[in-house]
This record gives sequence, structure tokens and C-alpha cells, in this order.
Amino acid sequence: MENKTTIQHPAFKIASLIICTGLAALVTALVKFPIPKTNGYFNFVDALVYFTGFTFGPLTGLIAGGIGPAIADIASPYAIWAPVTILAHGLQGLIAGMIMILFRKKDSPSLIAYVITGLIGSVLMVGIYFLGGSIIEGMAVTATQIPFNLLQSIGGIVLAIPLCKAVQAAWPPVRQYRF
Amino acid sequence: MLNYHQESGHLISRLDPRAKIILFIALVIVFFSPVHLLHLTALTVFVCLVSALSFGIRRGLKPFHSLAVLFIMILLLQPFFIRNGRVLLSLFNNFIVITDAGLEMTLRIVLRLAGVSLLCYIYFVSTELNQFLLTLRFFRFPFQAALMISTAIRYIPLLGTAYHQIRDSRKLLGLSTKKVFPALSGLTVYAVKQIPVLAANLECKGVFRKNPRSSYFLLPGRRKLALDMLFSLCIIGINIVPYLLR
Repeated sequence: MENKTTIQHPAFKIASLIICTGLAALVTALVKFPIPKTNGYFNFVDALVYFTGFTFGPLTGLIAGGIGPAIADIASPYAIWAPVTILAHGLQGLIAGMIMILFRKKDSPSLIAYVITGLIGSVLMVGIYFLGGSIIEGMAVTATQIPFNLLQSIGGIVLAIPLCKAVQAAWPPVRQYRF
Repeated sequence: MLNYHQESGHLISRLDPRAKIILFIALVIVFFSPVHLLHLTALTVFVCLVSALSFGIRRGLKPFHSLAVLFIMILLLQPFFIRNGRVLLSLFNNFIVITDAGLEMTLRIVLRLAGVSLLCYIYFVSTELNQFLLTLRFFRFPFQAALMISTAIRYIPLLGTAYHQIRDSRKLLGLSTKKVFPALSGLTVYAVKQIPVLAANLECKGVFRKNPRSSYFLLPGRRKLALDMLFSLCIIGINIVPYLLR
């Protein structure tokens, strides 16, 4: 089992960033939940971004949360959205990590911490996508996407809580991977 | 995913990736600038032609297949959103108004979206991942950041295979594959367990050593870079000079 010095080694931090970035990119591109009778789908990227922020801290949340989904955007026809995605999901991960630091005193954060994270993260994500989308595809179309983005972000926080608990139960050393 | 790159003998594939990235960033800036609508149309047609001639019509214009629904939505919704300018059509006692400014803005958004999406697509189809990362390093992108992105991209297929294996094992156990969450949590646990292994590998490879690093891949020499840069600057000049001379 790795000790504290090994975990604080720069290689360990880079390895965490690499794995979280790859995971976020994969989940954005592959793990989708189709919306019936429409062409659209929800993806689980928000859950992964919140998970990264909660588990690995704000810096990993910011970098992996931003770059991972942006890689998936670049690999799709929606590459134009990559800068907006970096900002929106990166800040989502940063907020998740920062709020967990505020509530770190307790072993497991209260529901209030998750609700605050969900609220700030959702408002930030939806706001940034709206502003970015207004420039890219016009305000009319972007406005129609607000409810879907909001639902996806709220769904993300709802899924991130059991995901954190499941991963911590299955692999307890992950509790120390906070940078 | 990310198996974009296609070997091609066309000019765009042979262009130095450093000159290409400068050209493409400059063209993206032109797409977002308040240029004349005819200029924007000509530039979009040019980008479409380059893509179709380099990679074939079917593959070259592939991004439009995914963007078609978005184009239709923009064309249907955006014209009614702008009410200033000369009124071309008025319905329901001025409740719905189509103006020339609204139509122009709609066309601009569609052309810009088409052009920039296709430019990004062309860049990644015509550039190998190694070349892209070396280009970033050439422009002083930090080594650790380039290492992080390149290794993350290489890990995606591994994690994708693990995800499919988890789903297959659930299927064999007679469990529902429609429930995404159990497979997602399994994948996350698998990925997190890879962190110490990867960290040990990075240490073994000497990632944080101070001595200079060698590289298996090198970008072309200065002569080719200078020629390709000149070509790129010519295309940028064609797009910018008319506005500077006004």
C-alpha cells in the first residue's frame, strides 16, 4: 500500500490527472443515456466532474474536469465547443473540490455541502454554456438547451454522491488521493 | 474515438503542423470577425472544398451529418430573435417579424459554425497526435501538460475496453445492461486503481528528472517550416489585407 510520501510525489499527482482526464473524456463520449423519441442524450460527464472534484480536490477537478470533456468535444464534430467546455466543466470541478475543502472537518460531508455544490456548479455550467453558445450558435437555440443542461447538471450531482461512496467502499485508499 | 488521422498525400496533410495551426487559428479569428457576408460565404465554401478534395466528399463533409439538426434549429429559430433592421415579413400584428438583420445574423451563425467545425475536423484528420503535441511543445507548452494530455488520450481506449468488459460481464450474469450506473461505478473503480500503477511507471520512465529529454519523433526542419509558414501567411493575408486597405 502506498504511503503519504509516495502519494505526494509529483508523478502520483500527474497520474491522477491523467486517469481522471481519460475517464472524463471516455464518459463524455461513450457513456450516454438517450432521451426517448428525440435525437438527444444525456451524458454522465457532470457526475464524473463532481466525483473528481470531491475525491481528488479542486486542482484535479479543474484540470481533469475541463480538459477531459474538451478532448471528447475535439474528437467529435462539436470541436467548436471545446473552449466553452473547458471553462464550464473545469469550474464545476473546481467548485466541487473547494466546497469539499470547506466541509473537510467532518469525515463525510453533509447533504448541505452537496446541495451547495450542485447549485453553484449548475448555475456556473448553465451560465457559461449559455454565454458561449450565444456566440457560437445564437441566443435562440442556446436558450432551448438551458433546461437540458440544468437537468444534466442536477442529475450529475445526484449520481456523483453514490459514485463517490461506491468508489470509496470498493477502494478505500482513494480517500488519501486529495491534492 | 480519436482515430481521426487519415494518411493523405494532399497539400493540407503535408503542411507543417506549426504553420497549419497558425493558419487555422487565424481563419477561426476571421470567422468570428465582422467580415462581409460574401467573404464569410466564400471562406466557408473554400474550407468545404479543401476538406472534400483532401478526404473525399463523404468523409470530408462528415461533421455536417452530426450538425444538421443544429443547423435546422438555428435556421428555424434565430431569424425571429432579431427585430431591428428592415422588416421583410410581419405576421400576427407584428408579433412575428423577419428582418434583413435577423436573416443576415442567422446566415453568419450557420456559416461560422460550419466553417469552424470543419476547420477543427480538417486539422485533426490531417495531423497526427504526436505532431500536434510536438507543435504545442514548439510553442512553449509545458512538458508535463503535454505529457498529461498525450497519456490521457492513450488511456482512453484501455478504459473503453474495460467499460465494455464490465458491461459484458454484467450481461453474462443476467443483469440488465440498460442500467448505466453500475457499469460506470465499476469503470471508475478500475480507473482509480490504475493510478498507483501509472505513477510507478512514470517514475520509472524518469518523468521528473532534470536532464534533457530525447524524443522519438521530430517535426520537419526549418526550410520546410519557413516555406509552409509563408504559404499560411499568404492565405491569412488574402483574408485580412482587403480590410486593412480600406
